[in-house]
Amino acid sequence: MNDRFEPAERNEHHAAWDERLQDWLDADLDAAQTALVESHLAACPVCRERLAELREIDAALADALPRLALDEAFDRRLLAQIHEQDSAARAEARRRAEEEFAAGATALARGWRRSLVLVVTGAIAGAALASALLGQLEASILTEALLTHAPGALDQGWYQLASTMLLGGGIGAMIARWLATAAE
Amino acid sequence: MPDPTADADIHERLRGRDYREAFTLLLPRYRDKVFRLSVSMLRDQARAEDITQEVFLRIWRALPGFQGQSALSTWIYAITKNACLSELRKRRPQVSLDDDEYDSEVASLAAPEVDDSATVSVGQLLERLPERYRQVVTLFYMEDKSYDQTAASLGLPLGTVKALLHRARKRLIELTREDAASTS
Repeated sequence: MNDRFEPAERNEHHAAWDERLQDWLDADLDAAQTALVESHLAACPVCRERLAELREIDAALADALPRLALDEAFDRRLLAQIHEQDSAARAEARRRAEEEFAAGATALARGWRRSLVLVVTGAIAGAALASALLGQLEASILTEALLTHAPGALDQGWYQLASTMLLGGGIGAMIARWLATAAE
Repeated sequence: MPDPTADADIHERLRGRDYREAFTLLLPRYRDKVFRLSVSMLRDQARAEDITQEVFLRIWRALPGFQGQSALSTWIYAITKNACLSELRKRRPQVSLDDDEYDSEVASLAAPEVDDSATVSVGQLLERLPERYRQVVTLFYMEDKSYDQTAASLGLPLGTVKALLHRARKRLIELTREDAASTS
């Protein structure tokens, strides 16, 4: 029956109908196209033969390539791994935060200690310098003027102490600041 | 084209920054599709299962950064394809994977050992197909003959998937005939 086509004609016939036969096989045609293919198949042995080949390869492929799926065990393993990774990430973040806090606290304590040392050093140096300066200026015009205008209850010793403290504080603050800048 | 209304429930959870719930919805919906796409690229179920796990771990970590510029499915399949290509590269690190060279290189990367037994199965015939044909056929049958899902997973237009599938079946029939002729 198939001998009514020469090989070349058969190829042309295949080319013309092959796409529609495959669409028909995949149920991918509308009603009108389906009817057209089925009426052609009823009358064409070449296309029936071709359809048999297509069906055979289709069935073999469907057997060889099943619809693979993963099971719930996969989900459990995956969720356990996510949990493990999240826990590890949280622990790492906590460890890093603790490290940063400890480093900050250490830096703060070191800063306080350094400030204290600088202030004490500055104060001592300032007081020493002020005392030396005031010793030299004991009978200066400034002291005279202060004593002249001071209330009678206060004596010269108090004014010398106050002057030493004021001058010493000022010089000490400048020295402490200079030391701090040098330490930076 | 992916359905823009698809995964609306997941997008809602993502907008509410409820990533855990979004992931819980996403996992059963995409798990098997990701697995089948991986099998079609890697040709190895055990490796595909490992890669599927890795893909979902990547998705979990990247979910807060997903801005919805593309469909969720497109994003997931892109991650899957990248993970599979990386896996293939690991085996042959010297191979580049430019688009033009993709077919032949992926084919050579993933090609299984040659089986020279007398009976040639459809699985063996599949290995003799060009890579794009083989991948489309594999995924189409594993996806229960769904053109839409095959196109979505591979990121190809529907017409391209149909054309590749039709050509692949024709080629498989030719290979079957050649094989029968050589053994008779």
